[in-house]
Amino acid sequence: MSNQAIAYSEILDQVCNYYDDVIAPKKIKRDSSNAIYQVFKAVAKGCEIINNSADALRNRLDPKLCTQEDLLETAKLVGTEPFLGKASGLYITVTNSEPQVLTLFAGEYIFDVDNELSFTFEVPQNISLEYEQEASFFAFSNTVGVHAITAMDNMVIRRSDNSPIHASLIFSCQNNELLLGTSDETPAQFRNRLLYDERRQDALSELENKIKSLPYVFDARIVFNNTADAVEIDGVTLPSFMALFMLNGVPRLEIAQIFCSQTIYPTLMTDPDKFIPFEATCFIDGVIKVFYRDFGTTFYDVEVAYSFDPLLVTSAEIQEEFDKALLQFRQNNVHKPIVTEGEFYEALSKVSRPSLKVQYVKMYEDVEGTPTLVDFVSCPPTRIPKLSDITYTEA
Amino acid sequence: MKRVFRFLDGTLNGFYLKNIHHCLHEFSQSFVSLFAYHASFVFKMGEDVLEGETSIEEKDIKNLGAFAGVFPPYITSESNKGSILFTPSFIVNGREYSERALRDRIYEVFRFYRTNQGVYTDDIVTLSSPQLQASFVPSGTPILGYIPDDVSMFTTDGQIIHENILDEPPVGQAWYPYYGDNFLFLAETFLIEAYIAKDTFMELFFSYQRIRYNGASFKEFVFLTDLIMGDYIKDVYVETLPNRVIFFYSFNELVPLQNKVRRTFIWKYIIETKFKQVVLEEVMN
Repeated sequence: MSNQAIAYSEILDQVCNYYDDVIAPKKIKRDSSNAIYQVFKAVAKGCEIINNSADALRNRLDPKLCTQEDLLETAKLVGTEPFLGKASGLYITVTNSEPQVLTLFAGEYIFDVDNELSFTFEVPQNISLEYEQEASFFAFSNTVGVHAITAMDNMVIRRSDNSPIHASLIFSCQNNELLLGTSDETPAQFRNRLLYDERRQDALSELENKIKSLPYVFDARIVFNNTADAVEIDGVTLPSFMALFMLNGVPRLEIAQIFCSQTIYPTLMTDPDKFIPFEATCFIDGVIKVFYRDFGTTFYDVEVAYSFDPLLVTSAEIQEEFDKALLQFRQNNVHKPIVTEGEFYEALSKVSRPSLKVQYVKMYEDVEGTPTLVDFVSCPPTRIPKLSDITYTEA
Repeated sequence: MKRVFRFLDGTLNGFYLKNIHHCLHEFSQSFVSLFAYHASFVFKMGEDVLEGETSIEEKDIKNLGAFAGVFPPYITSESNKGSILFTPSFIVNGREYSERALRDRIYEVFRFYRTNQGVYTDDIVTLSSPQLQASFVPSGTPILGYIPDDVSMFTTDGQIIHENILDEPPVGQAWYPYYGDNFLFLAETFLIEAYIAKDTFMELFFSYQRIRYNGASFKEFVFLTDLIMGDYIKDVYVETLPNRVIFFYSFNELVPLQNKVRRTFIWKYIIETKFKQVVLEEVMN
């Protein structure tokens, strides 16, 4: 029996051929009136079931061919799990607009975007705010995934216990384009990661993944210079045996605890205010400062050329669909070393309209203020690539 | 079955029925071995399995490795050794005896002969064998074949591919003489990408997973060095600097350790990926 799933008819044929060989020169008549043939048909059906089970068993430990259940079970066995989705984040600022001290009372505050989506933040204790004084809070969406919010000056906020909020406390927010959440890793993405991500055992990659698994961290990158010489990364000089820690998320103490949990890499200070303390009495001054740096952004543009039959579909419809398909590139908030045209072709291929054909995708990177045609967009570990403009060309 | 008997009628003589059974038995064999393997396989090498256990197959351990993020690395330049191998110093009772040696192809170590002034051994060429190879080819030794410049002479597990030895020198191409398996080739033209065998991969996988669960401590560093390199590493000392640890070592070439090149490669590979602040520095004797 071959090492793959085979159909009932093939098995029946193989059984009959084998039987022909052993009873040669006679041959079995392949006819339903032949009782032995009927027996073989029943046997072939059973063999098909067993063979399919055997096939699943044979591939049980193969990340490329195993079943979905086996994939998750075997991955868990060796300590690998799919990435869970993340909620989107939003910084909400409250300002006292009345010329007297007001109190923002402790409690849970909710910003309802619509009937289904809301952002929630907690005020842990009563806060007194002077006139025009501000306080900022980090809110999470109630569901995982990408939930983009544009800047707002006067937000309608309510308390979860429905207690009143003083009308002179004004809530506002900024764009949350770098705080967008993600969906759960799909089985196909997980399988793909298992097969092709070769950095998973790397100590720094493991550390990055631990930090990235925190719900309030959207991306983290650690670059460690293990050479004898200083290296320059995106204008930052990284001395020998020092780490550059890039963080996109809320800098909470837990991050420093994870960062220092196994090996303490000295981190490069790029801003004296941007550090997370890891407190332990065994250290000088009782603390280790884990310095971090915010990600920068690499903006790029694309040109999409397409052809279509105007009798069957309008250009506006196509462009609307394309805009939706490419939204993920605009909303990206994680670092990628390169962005290729292939990713755009793949995203655009999901748009199917009668007669529509994508002719080409061209990528342009901003080089000293001039859009320059590039084969791919390269992004240093200190930056997040973001699609800026899309130009459509009817070919 | 009643209908079978009725249909076969006079032709039923047991031959057909016996062969139905025989046919089906034959078909079930591939399942039986597969099910037996899956019921009994364990994460152990062949020599370590107990009764009723089966050592995990190579493809399965490599697939498990992919789940854990451990991929078999290709060894490159270090495997591409030529036949000019220098013997290390070999001193017995204060005298240097490193003149006569055969290269153990399996254990990648030199075996020294004539190490006692009072004991005479046979000629080094007479003592040579396909495993213990000589690099010295006596004058007049007939050429048994010709090795073209661009072919691989070794299988992935280190066996010689005799089919690639030609009877005649290749035309328009460089070649090397082949004097027999008892002699080291003048140029070992095997591929620079070498193979990580099952046992080495098991140790790579085991070490990675152990460090993943226990952390990259100095204790784990010592454990993995002992596991993979054994006594092949000697004269160890450590210098601790504020931002890194320098691990000085040298090799004991006299220690018979199988797959030395591959083991050394994976040892360095693990340290590079797991112990970022450790710098390895070999001290030449």
